[in-house]
Amino acid sequence: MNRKNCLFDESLLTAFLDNQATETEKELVNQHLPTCPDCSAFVDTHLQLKAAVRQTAETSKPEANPYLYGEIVNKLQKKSVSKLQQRKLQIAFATVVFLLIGFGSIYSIMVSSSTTDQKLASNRVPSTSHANVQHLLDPMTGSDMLIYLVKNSVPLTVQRTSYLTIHQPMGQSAELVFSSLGGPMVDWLQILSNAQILPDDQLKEVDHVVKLYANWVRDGIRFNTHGDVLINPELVNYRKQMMVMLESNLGKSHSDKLISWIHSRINGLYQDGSSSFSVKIPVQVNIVRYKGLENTMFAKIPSEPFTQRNLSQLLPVYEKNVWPGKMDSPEDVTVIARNVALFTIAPEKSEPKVAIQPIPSIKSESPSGLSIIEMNELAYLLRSGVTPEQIIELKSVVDHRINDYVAAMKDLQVQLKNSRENESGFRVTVPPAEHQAFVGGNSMGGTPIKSQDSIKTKKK
Amino acid sequence: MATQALVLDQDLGREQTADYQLAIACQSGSSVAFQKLVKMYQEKVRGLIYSILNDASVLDDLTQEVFIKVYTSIDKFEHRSSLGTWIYRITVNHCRDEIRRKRIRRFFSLDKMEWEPKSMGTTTDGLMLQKEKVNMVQWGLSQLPEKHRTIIILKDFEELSYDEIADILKIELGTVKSRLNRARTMLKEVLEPHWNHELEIDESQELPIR
Repeated sequence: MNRKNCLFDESLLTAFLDNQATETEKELVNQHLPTCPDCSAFVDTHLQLKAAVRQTAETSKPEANPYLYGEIVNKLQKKSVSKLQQRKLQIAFATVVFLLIGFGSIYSIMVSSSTTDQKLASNRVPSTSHANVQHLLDPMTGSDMLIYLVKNSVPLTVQRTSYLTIHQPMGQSAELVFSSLGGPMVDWLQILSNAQILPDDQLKEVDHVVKLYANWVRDGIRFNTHGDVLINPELVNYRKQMMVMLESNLGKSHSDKLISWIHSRINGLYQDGSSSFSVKIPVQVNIVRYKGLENTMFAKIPSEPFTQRNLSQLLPVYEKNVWPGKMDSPEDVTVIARNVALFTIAPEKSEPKVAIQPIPSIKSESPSGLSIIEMNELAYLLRSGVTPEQIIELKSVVDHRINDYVAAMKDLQVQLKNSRENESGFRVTVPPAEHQAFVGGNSMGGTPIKSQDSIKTKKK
Repeated sequence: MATQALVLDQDLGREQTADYQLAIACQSGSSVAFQKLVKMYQEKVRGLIYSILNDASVLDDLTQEVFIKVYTSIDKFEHRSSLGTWIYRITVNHCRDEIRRKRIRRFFSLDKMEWEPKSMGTTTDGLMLQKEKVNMVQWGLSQLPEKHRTIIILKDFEELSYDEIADILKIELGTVKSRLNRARTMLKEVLEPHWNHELEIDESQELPIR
């Protein structure tokens, strides 16, 4: 048994009897064994030993502990909860920094309601190409308009408190939403970067973190009904890009810290065992008000959500026409509807210099008895290719004022037709490259993101 | 930067596996994913700890500690090995820490063993013989140094490949082979005085039982 007389490589024999040898090695051993009693004895003994050990392995298993899983999960939850509590301060800090530095610096441009200010306002608006304005018309990417406003130093007014809401139903992707704006968080960050305000380190940090966070949660993880984890392949790329980006921007130690911060933020979101989570962080958000737009943009927005009526009825329409494949929940519809209400605007006809103007056709008091927001919604639906029949069908489910709708739509259709003929209304133009970039950066579309304009183009 | 990108590219091929996706989900902070991980690896981890330490009294505590370790360090998992391998490594290291800290006074509590070397009976009953043999191997393993015991456990208990073992123990492939060889030889030497001719008659008796 001691292979004193043989120089054959012992580790080859071991690999052979562990079935880990390559074909060539096996052949070598097979050739050697018959010629060498020592090695044969070695293999025999070790095979027996191995068999005995295998047998031991199979018989000596610990008794199952059915409670162990629960105990582990409990412990982990306690751990992540305490982690979460620690982080609350950090979150608060981050929010404050974000708001103070970010919004403070951008939206400190304010305008009061005097005529001089209006003059000032129009002075500040640089002449813009029509394409830009068209792009702003896109109700789905209302934040693009904000980007535009900020980029062009359009005077803004500070208003209103808002909530930063993170909502994620189980099995669906999450979204960060400013409740009164409807634009995802990422877009706000887009605004920040497009405003070319050089952020100090902290703002940069928060900016990155929130961006990452939003991206990860939104695109990253889903669960199917069996509880299997489904990863959006994009997440892997995102992750790599973000890690490289973070590290190159902030340095290794800093980026590590941030990444764990992000993880801890996402951690425990489902901790209470519910099937969805919703986190509300009250923030003093400064809502933008452009002087010339009171009538359409932010004016007369009801204090309760615009979509208290059963908007889920509209879901298929929106889904088909507006946001393919990205509708997750009625909440999303709320967001979209709010966007529609907020950002349905039209360019001004006579003065191309002042690019953004209320839709001329929609009067503040509609003769048909519909509210201005309802009119806006109708106008939007018509513009995006929903037929009047479809609208009536939808509306008849939730609203009894069908006659009003029919009348209003007739009115609107004429106006829309006119506005198209005048080349001032809702014609689609290909946005310039920079706007493509915005659309690409817009989180609402997910991946791969289609420009809303391109969607519209297809319709026509 | 360049090296970073390179490292990140290494796991391209692994992206599609369920293991990889689970790992990413855990790393992204999903607690549901982590619970799935616990479910998947709990028994494996527990079995490994039991084999290495052979002490049922600390088994569940250690298992919990391992998963907490996994939980707290999942950020650092770089996908250079599979998730399972990585968890095994943590488990083995944790067991070693435990041994080092001497929280476990003896690696192997003999009081739980019905078998002692001297009492090797003369029974001819196949089942009894089987049981005695198992006890004897257990006792034999307990006599080995930890690193030799562990490698036998990883290979023959857990049935891992040499590559995986090399990954878990962070040693070279060649070292795996030679250490495994050494460990088996040691085990044989420990058992030999008690085993006697038993080894020779084994083959005929083993088959009908197993």
